[in-house]
Amino acid sequence: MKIVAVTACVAGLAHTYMAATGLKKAAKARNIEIHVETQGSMGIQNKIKQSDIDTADVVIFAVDTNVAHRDRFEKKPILTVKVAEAVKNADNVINKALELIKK
Amino acid sequence: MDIKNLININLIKAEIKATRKEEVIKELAELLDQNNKLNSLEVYLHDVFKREEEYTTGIGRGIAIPHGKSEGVKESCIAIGKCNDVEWDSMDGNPVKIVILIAVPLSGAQNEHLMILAKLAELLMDEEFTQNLVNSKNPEDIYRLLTGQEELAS
Repeated sequence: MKIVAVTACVAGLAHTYMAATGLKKAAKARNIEIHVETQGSMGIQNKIKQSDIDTADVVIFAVDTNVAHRDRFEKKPILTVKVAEAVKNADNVINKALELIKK
Repeated sequence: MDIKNLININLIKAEIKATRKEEVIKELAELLDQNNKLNSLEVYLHDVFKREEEYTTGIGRGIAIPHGKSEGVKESCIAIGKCNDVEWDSMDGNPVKIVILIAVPLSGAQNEHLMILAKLAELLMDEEFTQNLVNSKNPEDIYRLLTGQEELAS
């Protein structure tokens, strides 16, 4: 299982980075490979490689704004949630992503 | 660059008497203003409250992080207040004991400052760290806790 995720919030100061940490921790606890890109006040950081996107099983957008360069993820199943959801309960967000590709 | 560039002991207040969220934010913003960190208290407060309307900054476990990227800010900084169970509509429903007010200029913020704020945000996902924050007794405790974090002193 491999997940790629983008986090972004309106101010880009705090929630973006908290959500990224939450998702990484939750994935790690389940031994799931995850790559998280933050789109915040410092611009894009930890940009996901196209090769990682191409080999990912599912994409998570934990965002309250538009995802920059969204077309990179075009062919993938995408779960979109509010950034707050990934801060509050990242484990549940991972669950939802896994549900999405089960169907 | 480390967190000492964003906070000093004068920007930490151990006894916030206010009991309403808006008053707590105002009290901490006034502290920033008194320490010459703002161009306009009014403009900054307006932007923080506007941000607050979007969704809650009560991130749970007794912590809130109201913030504003605003023309009213002179230089990036944070103020911290310890208060008495303030209702904040938090993500976990619990009242708030520690408020971290973040101020960043609308444009031209230094990347190093933003980096430290991002690392602080990451640390706030750590339960041991937030527990220690909530348990801190005075400004010195809080200052030592923040400046003692490896992640914030890169």
